[in-house]
Amino acid sequence: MSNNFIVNTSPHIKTPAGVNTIMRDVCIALAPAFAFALYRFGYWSIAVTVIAVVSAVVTEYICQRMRKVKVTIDDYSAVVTGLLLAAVIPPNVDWYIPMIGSIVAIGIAKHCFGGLGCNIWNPALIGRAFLQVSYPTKINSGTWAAITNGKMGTSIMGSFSSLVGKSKTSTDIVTSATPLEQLSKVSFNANGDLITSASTKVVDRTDDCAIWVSNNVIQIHKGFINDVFLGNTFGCIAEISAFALLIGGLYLFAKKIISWEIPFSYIGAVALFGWALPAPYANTVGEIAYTNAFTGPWLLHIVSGGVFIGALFMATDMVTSPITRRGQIIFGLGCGFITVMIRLYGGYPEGVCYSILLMNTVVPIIDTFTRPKVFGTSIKKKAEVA
Amino acid sequence: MGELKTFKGGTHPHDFKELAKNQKIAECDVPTEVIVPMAQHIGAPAKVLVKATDEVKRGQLIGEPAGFVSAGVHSPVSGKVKKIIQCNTPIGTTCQAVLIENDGKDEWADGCNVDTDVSTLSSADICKKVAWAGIVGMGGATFPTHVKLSPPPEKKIDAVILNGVECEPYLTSDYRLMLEKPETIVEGLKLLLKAVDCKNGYIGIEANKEDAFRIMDKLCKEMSGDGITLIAELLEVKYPQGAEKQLIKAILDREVPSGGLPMDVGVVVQNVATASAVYEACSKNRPLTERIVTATGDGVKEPKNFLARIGTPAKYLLGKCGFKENVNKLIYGGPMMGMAHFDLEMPVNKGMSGILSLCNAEVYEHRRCIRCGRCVEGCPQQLLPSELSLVIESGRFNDSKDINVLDCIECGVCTYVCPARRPIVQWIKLAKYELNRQRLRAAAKEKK
Repeated sequence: MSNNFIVNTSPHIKTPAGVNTIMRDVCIALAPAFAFALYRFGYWSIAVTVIAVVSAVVTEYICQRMRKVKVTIDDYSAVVTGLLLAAVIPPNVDWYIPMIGSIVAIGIAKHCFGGLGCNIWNPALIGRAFLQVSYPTKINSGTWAAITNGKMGTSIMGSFSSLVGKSKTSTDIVTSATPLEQLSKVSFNANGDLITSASTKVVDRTDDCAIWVSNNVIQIHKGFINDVFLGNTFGCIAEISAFALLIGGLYLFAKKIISWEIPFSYIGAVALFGWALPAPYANTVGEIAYTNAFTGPWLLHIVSGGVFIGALFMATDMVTSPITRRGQIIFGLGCGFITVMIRLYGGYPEGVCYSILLMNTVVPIIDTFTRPKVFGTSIKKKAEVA
Repeated sequence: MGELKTFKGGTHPHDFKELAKNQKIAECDVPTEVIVPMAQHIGAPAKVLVKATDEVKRGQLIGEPAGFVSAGVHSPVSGKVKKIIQCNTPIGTTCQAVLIENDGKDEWADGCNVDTDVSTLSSADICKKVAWAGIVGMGGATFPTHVKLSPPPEKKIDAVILNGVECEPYLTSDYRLMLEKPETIVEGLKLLLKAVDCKNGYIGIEANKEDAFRIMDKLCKEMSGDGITLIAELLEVKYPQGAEKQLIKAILDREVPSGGLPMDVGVVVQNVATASAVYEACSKNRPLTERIVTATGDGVKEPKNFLARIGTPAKYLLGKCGFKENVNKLIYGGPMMGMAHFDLEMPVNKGMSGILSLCNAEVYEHRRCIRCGRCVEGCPQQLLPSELSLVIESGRFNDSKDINVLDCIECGVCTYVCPARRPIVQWIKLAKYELNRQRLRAAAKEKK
């Protein structure tokens, strides 16, 4: 009997949390967002998600077989990548879009660098960035047709349809811009301060408008923020409802899978710079003008677009974020700053994806400069000086 | 909990202390044969003084210290030396051991077990007595106590801390000692204070042992005086609160410098069991021949706390607790820093605070680091264990030195919390071993 004892080094007990339980919890945390997507966009959005997840897992399997390493599809990490990719693509894309995205995400962004733990960039965001440059017409938020089930608030519906020059009456399918698109491309009519998307047709200012500029200050329709926060708007599959994402985020907090540093510094920085920085818009004579500084719609910046999914699920990806808490704060602030810079002055309406990828790139430098002070070393230095 | 003193980092594994917590210390009857190893301490193993067929008495010196950092070994029973054998040690090496046949008379050697008035002892007397009794750190580190009590003259000691934290899960031997023999601990602390000529004594106790704290607190207040202050400190429940450096940080807010010793910040740390042994040695002239051992884990039916003679085989103790057939891991010490071994015959030694048997121990396959940062969060030394693990895994031992591998206290928090199940501490031990070998090799070359 004594021959059967296990002999290895201490510690002899381990925490129950493993890689697979962490990744599984991330999947659980994403559930509310996808449930909302099902309600908001219908079954095709879930079909897109399933395609993304299945492609991700299959790609992971093939890559690991090719690399002759242990197949670890049971750790849920590929499932998470598939889910996150699906979360940030539009709901009505063709079936091959999520598939290509997942293959790039897992095959190139993850396994070309050595698999889980070795990738420099968040795989799902690389997949999304790849799709954005490869299929701009399908991915670019300004031109996709968002499927609604007719349950949107009428004022929002009206404003969106009017802003893009279509019928004011509610329809089940409208082509429209996301709120961010409008922030990014504002223009005026001759009479005053209406803002529209890039549409050439200018509509009179009405109460149906969601966003406009008045006296160099961006104005937002009452209730609009609320609708955007809850998800009564257009956007990608699982990023539209900040509320649903927040529920998932709280679950991750409770499970101690994410800490407050990245989400808070990220969202805080978006709010700060979104409020402080002047936004460009085209004025009545078609010149570029800027809104007043320190008047920005910071609340809209936070709740719209991908900030919540970015701050809670993408930037907090363990592999591609700094390892120390101080580093995580710097990382979050950088993500927030770049997000706002891209939104206001960049070529894309949304900056979350590229901001996180850019900050992923500098994680090794952040890690180098935020090394914790080793116990007992500060005192040794003092002693040496003395 | 926030107000309790503590250190930065750490974690709190489920402590399983409920298994043996309420078991009173039971005096374990002495087996017919005891195996007394010569290497029961850090430093040079003791030199055997007896040979087969010699008659020995309890407390008789059977192994003499082989140097300053070494400790004497005394016979735990009276009887006859059967033979000198090789025996396993928990750390995986072997050493000489004396196999003694117990005659059951339990006669003390001359000069032992005689009461002395401790108030007549001078500082030097106490140090001498401690060295004579072969006392070593009984918390597990087994560093000879008389060495700790003889700091170089330029190091002024202004605080003695007794470690009653017992942060290792499962173990309850110090806890039971504090409950059942608190006077010996506090008396021992006073002797230690006198030995290093210092006025401030502290006893650190984790908050999950509040009843022990209350007893010690009351006693400390009663026995303070004559310029001596004794303070019992309740500390946050967090592993490794009982690590020497972390304990000093928590109680006195002093940081032992990297590569330094507690005496560099004017502190001597001793385990509560050691203090108790010091008192027994000084007041009753009893060398260290017995200690409290917790036999616990899900591998025994009735976990118990034993007062066992040094040299009692583990199997003997486990047998008294109802050892189960399906045990698959045997650990000498606690689960976080104890040593797994295959040998059930391993004798109780001076540093063995517990024998832990587990039925469902698992061996994990490790994966790549996912940089979750839990080890960084938990490291009580503020190292980057994840980085160390990657560097050492790829064999870059010298690079690991630059990122402070030698500051690791091997507490095991990083490895406990790692979701990728990486054996970080194992790698760190390997790197330290390799670095030490390189150092020795370089030193040998220089000599030539």
